[in-house]
Amino acid sequence: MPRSNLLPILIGAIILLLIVTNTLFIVRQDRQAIVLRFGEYVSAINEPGANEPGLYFKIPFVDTVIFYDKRNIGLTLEGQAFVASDQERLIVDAVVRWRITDPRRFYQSALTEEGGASRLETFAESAIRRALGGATSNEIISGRRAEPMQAIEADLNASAATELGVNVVDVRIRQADLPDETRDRVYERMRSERQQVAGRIRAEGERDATIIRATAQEESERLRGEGEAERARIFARAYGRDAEFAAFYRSMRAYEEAIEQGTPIVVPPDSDFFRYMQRRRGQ
Amino acid sequence: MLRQWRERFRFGGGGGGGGGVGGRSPISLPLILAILLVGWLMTGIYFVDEGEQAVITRLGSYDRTTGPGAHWHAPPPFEAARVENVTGQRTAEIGFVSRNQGAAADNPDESLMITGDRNIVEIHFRIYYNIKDVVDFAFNVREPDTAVRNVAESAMREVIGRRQLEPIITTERGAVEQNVEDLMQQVLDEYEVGVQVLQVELLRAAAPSAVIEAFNDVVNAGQDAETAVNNAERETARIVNEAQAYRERVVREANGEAQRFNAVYGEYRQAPQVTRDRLYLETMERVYQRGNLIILDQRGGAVPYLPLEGMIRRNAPAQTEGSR
Repeated sequence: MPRSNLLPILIGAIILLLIVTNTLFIVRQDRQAIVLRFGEYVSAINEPGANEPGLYFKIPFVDTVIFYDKRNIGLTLEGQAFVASDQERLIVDAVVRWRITDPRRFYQSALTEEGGASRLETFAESAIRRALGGATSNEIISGRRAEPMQAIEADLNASAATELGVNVVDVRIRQADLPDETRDRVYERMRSERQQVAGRIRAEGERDATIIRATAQEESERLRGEGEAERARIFARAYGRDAEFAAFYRSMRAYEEAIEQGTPIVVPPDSDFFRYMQRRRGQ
Repeated sequence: MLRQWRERFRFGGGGGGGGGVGGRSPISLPLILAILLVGWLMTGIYFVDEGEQAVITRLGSYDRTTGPGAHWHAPPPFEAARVENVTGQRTAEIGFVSRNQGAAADNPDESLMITGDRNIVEIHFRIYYNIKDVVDFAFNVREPDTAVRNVAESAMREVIGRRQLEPIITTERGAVEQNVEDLMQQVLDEYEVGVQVLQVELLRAAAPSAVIEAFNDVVNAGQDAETAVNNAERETARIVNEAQAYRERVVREANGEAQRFNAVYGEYRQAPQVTRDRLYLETMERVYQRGNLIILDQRGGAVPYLPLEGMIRRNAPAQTEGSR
């Protein structure tokens, strides 16, 4: 008797569980869902704009539920090589942030999130090409990056958004880089620029040093001149009292200073020095 | 009712075989169910540490946020808890990979950035951030930490791209950090990711290793220039001091000589001819003593050949005293 009682209970419980799991479903806060009846769209739950997560019912085996992420999703595009309007080749990495805004549309055109992401990637690549192809490499690398980013975002929202049922929240160019060979060229130029700067600094140093030395020389000559002028003045005042005697006196001193040890001196016997010598001889 | 069930099982199980769960053991089905129930209820117990917050969803829908302590939520599938460290600093390192002991390995794919003047600069930086709104953080962005990292890199590249190389690696580091922080916060707020950027730390902003030598040479050139100027300054001091010394010496010597002359002149005025002759003879005496005197009568007309070289007293010893 107990065995025959237990079995129906177990079977009943299993059937109940099956019905419950096939009837009830939870839509999480960060997800959205669409309900399909025999593959035909019935309704969307908790799509952006509607805050309605929670427990829902469906008809088992008739209705299917497909969940999508409701959050902001990042899509990374790596190494997009293209040519800017100034013929410079560039490699761009970008991150497109998007979210599914129209789950019905998204289901129709992309089916799965992965599929949607890859479709969006295709759209984004061409949008980037369009936006950056019209800009110079300078604008992309530096300067106003915000403008091309906004242009890509607007472009994507105009094309991909309606077709895929998504909204592009933001496009960020993560990197805009030069290809390796261009990079080497840049390095070469940077090096030569630095060498130029180094050369200029050294030359300026030499110039300053020379100017400093010359200024010192100038000061030196001025000081020496002052000294010599003063000396001339002093002598002029002293010797000016008797020019003739001064000349005599100065000559005497000069002879004494100028004639060194062992200097040969040829003197005629009738010189002043020997005046008395001759006179005595002559007598 | 319960009692009846228990009775039924206890007796019914006696038959053995593949029957009920409680077959040969005294454990009854209700007890098992009760244990399962308690165990199920206990799965709802969760702990939140200091600095953490838990986001509770009820049937998938956000219900409440709880702070530190032990809590209970209705067991799954009714409620679920997601615990996040909120006040704790999170970091993202970009441009390098940290190794132990603070060593950093450069990651050129991330670290090399183009500046506004089309140079390449190597940037390593670290972002500190935490969660300012745990609900936003939990529900709004998929992989929020990756989003922060991407935004950081993009913001840094944009900021670097607007500036010139030299200021970046010298004076404008603080400004770069501030700009990146502001730009990041603005973008992250647009995403409603619930993240607060605390600090952007620029760890390295330098010329890439491929050209670092040329950059260092500029520094060396500065040193060289300074050295040259210092040397010149030093020489200036020497030259000017020498010149001053010369001036003073010359003036003093002249003064001395003038006084000497004045003294002699005073005497000369007393007896001009005598003094003059005496001066002449004394001077000549000393001069001829020192010199190699040759007396030559030229009245003969022709100038005779004199072997001067042989006549010179070479390096004659200083037997003659110096003049005075």
